Amino acid sequence: MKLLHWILLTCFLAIILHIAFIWYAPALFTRLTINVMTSAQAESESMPTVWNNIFHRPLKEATDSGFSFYTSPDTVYSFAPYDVSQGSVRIHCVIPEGIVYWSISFYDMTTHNFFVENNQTAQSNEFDLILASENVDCKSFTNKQVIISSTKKGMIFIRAVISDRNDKDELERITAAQKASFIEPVLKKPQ
Amino acid sequence: MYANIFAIIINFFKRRDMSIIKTVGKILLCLFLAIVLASAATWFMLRRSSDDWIRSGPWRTSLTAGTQTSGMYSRALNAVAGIGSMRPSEALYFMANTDSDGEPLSHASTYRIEGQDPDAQWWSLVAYAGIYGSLIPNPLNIYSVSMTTVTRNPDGSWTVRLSRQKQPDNWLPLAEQDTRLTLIFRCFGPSSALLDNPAASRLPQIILEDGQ
Repeated sequence: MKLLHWILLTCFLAIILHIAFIWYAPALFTRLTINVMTSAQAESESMPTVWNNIFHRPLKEATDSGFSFYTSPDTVYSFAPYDVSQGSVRIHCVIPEGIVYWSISFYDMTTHNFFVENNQTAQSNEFDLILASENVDCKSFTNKQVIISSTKKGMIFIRAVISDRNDKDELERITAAQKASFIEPVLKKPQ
Repeated sequence: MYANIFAIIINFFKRRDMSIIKTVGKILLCLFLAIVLASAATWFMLRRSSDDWIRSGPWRTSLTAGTQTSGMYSRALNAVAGIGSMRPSEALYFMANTDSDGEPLSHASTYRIEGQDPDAQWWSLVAYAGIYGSLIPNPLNIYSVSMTTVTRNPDGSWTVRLSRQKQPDNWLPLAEQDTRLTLIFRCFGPSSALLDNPAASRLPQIILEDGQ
């Protein structure tokens, strides 16, 4: 093989590797985020799967161990990796009373933030959302807001902002409301 | 037994199979160079993609993060640098690594940040240390100044001080080690005016008070 062939082969490989990384980076980093956000709790509670489970995180401190990537110190996060490949899931949301900012945001595996509901747009302080995949017949979900995910898996962030980190009562109220939120599979009705 | 294995290896190298070794070596070299080239191209393209961010003084933000319209490189950049960030209509994240004169921020200096409430539902200003954006440890556990905790001037504007030394009001402590310093100004629930033209909004000024 001549030198030119080796150079062409190198360039071809470089282009393939570059495109592969750029193309798969969103899915790769989403997977990494899911792993980082869930692994400790999933391990300690011996959870069979992290999918369609909700993980509540305490308010971030600088001394906390574990990964920190520009985490907001004023936000109580709840995190849920979702999987709608086996059917739709129901997310029950509870917005803490008098909160300055609350939101639930959905991300597919391409990092597309395809749906957000916040404390100003929500119709009430307690509501349900149904998350389904693209080929699901949504007619059976009457009186429920149905959100369609373009990928079978993805992640959900629930953010609750605390107006003052030193206000223990406020933190307790927000944490209680966050823990009242849950995610569960929608059971199919028997035929 | 070991002598036999050694003899087999020596014979292998002595025979004409040397050409196979050379070819394998060339393929490995090709692969290594391809990885280096691909990494350089990825770094270059992601940096170029970040040039599309909106800039206003020392602040920069992305209006494509989290949106479906963002291209392949924008999505990759968002995944690498800001996974989990909400779409711009829900939150604008302004980042700064320099002061208003364009000088890199340093933990050894003292800065005065002069601003006023942006047109948003809620805002906060946080200082981070290091390339992974860690919160800065301090005895009082102060990590942010926000719309609900800031002490305002009589005209409604506010002044925040970034310093290692304790300040009377609106203090954001800096780190003892002089690592990378990043400020993030989060605006949750931005108004349509702020969203339409973030570059024209009056974002906080970062003024060096003391240090280099």
